[in-house]
Amino acid sequence: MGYVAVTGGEQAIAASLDLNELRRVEAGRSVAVEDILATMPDLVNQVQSEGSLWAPKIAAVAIKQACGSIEEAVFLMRAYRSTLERLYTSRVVDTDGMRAGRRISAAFKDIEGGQILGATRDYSHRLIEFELADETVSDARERAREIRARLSAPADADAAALLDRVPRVLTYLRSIDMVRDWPVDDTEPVDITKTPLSFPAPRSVILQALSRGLTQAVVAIGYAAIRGFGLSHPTVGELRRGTVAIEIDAPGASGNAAAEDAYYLGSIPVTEVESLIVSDEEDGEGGHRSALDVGYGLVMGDDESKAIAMSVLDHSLRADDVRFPTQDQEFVLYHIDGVEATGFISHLKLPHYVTFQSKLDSALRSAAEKGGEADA
Amino acid sequence: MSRRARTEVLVESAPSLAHELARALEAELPVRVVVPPRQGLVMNQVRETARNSRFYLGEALISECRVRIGDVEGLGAVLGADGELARSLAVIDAAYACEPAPAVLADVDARIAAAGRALDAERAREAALIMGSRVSFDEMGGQDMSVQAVVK
Repeated sequence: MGYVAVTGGEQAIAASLDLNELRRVEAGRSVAVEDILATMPDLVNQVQSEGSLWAPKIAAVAIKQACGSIEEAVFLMRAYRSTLERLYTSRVVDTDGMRAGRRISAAFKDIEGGQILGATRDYSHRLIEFELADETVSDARERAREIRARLSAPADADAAALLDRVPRVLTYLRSIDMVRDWPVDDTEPVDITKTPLSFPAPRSVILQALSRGLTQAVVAIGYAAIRGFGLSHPTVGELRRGTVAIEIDAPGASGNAAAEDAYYLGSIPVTEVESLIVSDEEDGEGGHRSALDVGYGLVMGDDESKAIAMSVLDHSLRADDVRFPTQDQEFVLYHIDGVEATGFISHLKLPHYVTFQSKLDSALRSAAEKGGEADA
Repeated sequence: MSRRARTEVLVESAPSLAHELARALEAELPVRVVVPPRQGLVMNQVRETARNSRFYLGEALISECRVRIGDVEGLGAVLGADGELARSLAVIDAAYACEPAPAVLADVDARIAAAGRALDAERAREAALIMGSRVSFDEMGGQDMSVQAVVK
């Protein structure tokens, strides 16, 4: 059989779109974009992280349009991004200069600068606060006022200076030669938004793909790598959350333009993790020794689980050993992209009349032949 | 004050500061818009700390505008969709590039410096709140778990 052109679906599709929009508005209520931004920052951040585009207000609109579907909101962000011209590439962000709001280490108790818990749910009871069902805007304001009063402390310029440049645990481990001090590698990164994936993938591709990956996929595969389907079992040497400054050089400036002449565009929140994994390395004299290797995670937003899982997979994928799927670059990198994965799964809903008819014909023929043989 | 420091103060302060300063400059100087406010992307590249290499973290939405005052060009660029702010930043940037420096710039400079001090004070207040969550370990006579002790 051949392809048959058909008509008649346009009205049905228009009605379907109307029904979908009706579903969004039929309750007669609308949430302000500012309210989404103010009350659901983690959701907005996840959409931006997976959308690989930092644009909070646009992400909030996407969430509203998508009725809260992260999958759809990320798709909208990626589509929106493709309509914009890339005007600049930033100066290289040095996360040493992160303005930290939280930093902890699971490896050491006493670390230079201290364990700064910041805002975290780690110590909350995870019990539903039913009174939030009736919370009003004035209730929220009052609660904020009470908490600020409770936390009140004199302004501390020294604290601000510390949080602007928190010492790293890695720096100490490198000073005692337990973590290798790698020379600066200024290889131009490959951009996966412009270059199709190929394997083995360069390090820049692995990190970019993991960072913008589907959050739950990165976490799930990272978990599998630790649980037995891989060889990485990390200790979080340091986790830090904060904001990093985005700067550009003046148009036409040379590659080594002075930092003081740069333009500051704003800051974006990021979460960074350095995981420590005991590994065997060559000692340079033909022998081997135990040392610590570092898995690196950095994501836009506040998702610590994603950043930790990314650090696990960064280490895991360096092996590029297909004995474990978590070390197989193609398995991990091809399947963690949200738009790729959900797009492919979603396309299965679309008409496959011809291919399915072919499969059905083949199955019917086979059954008929088997039946014929049985009769004989 | 360097351009890096100046643009940080202007971007992190309320947009009304940049708008007021731009209006004051435009009252004295002939400003011509070369590239009207537009939106685009900046790709953010970072250096990772495991292997010291670079990678692309993702893009960010920015607004950009370019203006001219005489022969000098000014650039305004800021994260987000705020073309008016980008325009005001461009006017201020161009004014700083003028030689000799226009007389009106002294007042602009003083106001940016004052805004910088206010920004530092605000950050010191926020830092004090965060530092309230720094863990203060009590000695229990047990094992020393400091970095230095553990790695010995």
